[in-house]
Amino acid sequence: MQALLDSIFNFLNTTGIVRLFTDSEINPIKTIIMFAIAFVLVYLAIVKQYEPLLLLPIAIGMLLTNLPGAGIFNLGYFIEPAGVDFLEVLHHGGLLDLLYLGVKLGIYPCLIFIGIGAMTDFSPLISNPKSLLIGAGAQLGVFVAYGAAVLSGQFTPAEAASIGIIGGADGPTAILVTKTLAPDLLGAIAIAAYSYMALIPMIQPPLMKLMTTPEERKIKMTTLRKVSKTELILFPLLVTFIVGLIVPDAVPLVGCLMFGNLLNVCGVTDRLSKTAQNEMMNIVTIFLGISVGATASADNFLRFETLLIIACGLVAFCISTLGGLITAKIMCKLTGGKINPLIGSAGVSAVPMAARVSQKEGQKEDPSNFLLMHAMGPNVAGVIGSAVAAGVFLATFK
Amino acid sequence: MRALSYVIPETLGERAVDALTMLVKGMLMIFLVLAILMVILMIMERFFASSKQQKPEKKEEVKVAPAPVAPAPVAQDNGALVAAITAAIAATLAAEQGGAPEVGGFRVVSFKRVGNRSAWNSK
Repeated sequence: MQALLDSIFNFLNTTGIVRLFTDSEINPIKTIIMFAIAFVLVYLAIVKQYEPLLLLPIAIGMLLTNLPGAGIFNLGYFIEPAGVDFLEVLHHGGLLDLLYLGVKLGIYPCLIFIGIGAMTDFSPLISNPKSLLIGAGAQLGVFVAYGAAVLSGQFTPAEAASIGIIGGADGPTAILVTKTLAPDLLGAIAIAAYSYMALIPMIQPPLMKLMTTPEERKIKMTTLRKVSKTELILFPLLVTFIVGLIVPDAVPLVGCLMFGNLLNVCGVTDRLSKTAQNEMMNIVTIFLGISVGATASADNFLRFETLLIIACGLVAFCISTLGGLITAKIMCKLTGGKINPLIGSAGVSAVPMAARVSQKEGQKEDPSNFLLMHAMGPNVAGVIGSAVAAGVFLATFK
Repeated sequence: MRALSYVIPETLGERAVDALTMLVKGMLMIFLVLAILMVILMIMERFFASSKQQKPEKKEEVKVAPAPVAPAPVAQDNGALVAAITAAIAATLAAEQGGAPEVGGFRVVSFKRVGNRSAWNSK
């Protein structure tokens, strides 16, 4: 009888609920808060449909990593000053430790960029190359947020760079920079980046109205010319070549983005293009989301720094939107009113949601105004711009 | 630009200078890269888009325009319609003459619809 009771008692000691309150390494209050945050993210992903493809895996990764005793992820393996002991990870790591190797080695963001490239139509940008300047202006928030984070005194410049890149509104780019420069902040930065991207329809419209007059919002832009197939094929090759020669550290992102696009436009690799757009993209999204979410352990996530990251991320997003709007406004003046400044806000990446917001705001002023394709130019230019910004940070701090 | 030459700022003044330097350097670099791309895209447009592109559009317009004009009904086999009209005329003539309808005596060589509306459906 005593043996049976001992057995039951020993079993109870191994349960998560007992560990939650008896394990000295686990803070029960923080852990319960993390469960609550995970459930809120699940709610936002499923019910509100805020970036569900990434937010849901991130939320589940967050839930799994905080379950007491599960040992499914150990961030300690990856933030060792001496570097990652890969044999130790392979022999003793949990499932998410193994999946996280794809993040740590920079594999997932690049594979995602191949898929994004295959899905992206660059013809609005090719037919209106001036859009590139708007995409450049919309990176302003990246560097302003960097400055804010550095001035706060709470972050090293490398960490500040990882926070600033949230303003690029590009999840894979933010993850690639953060895993390299500040891996312990990865969970907070990824969650902030994807949350703000999901909140674009709420964040951008007030700024768009603030920066534009009703007359400017009514401007109708001329129809974009049709782009030839030769241009579509030359574009990814030229971008890879030029960006690679000027900012080599941006090559993993820009090179993969353009490779994916070339698969799509060349016309002879349809099977590869479809795989990149669908199966590969979906599989990598699951691995990326769940392993990034796993970095948000209670001790790592519930810190004062996380609040600062969320605040700086919001600053980055807003300033980037303003930067795009100001650039578009200047171009509107210079072209004698041929450019609707509303497309400026689409210069932050977040394809295609930011462009949709431009379209929606334009139609509020004039229902017969169709800005979507015009806004797609700055939108995809923003993807290239944020990758270049990432390259600048990596070149400086790596 | 590499990490080796980067000095981590310590004081508030140094951090402010670092923030400003990064802002200017980063934005300049992004504008430089994207402006170069813009110029190259504009050059590319001159060589690969403008002249070759307009011609097919014009051809399309020419092709599209004649399509509705084609007199499709004339080319159709109207045998059944001719037979029906012939029978109707024969029946009318026979009724006027008060006898059975005769075969022959006339031939429908041409007919044309008057207006867009069918007389059979008019009320």
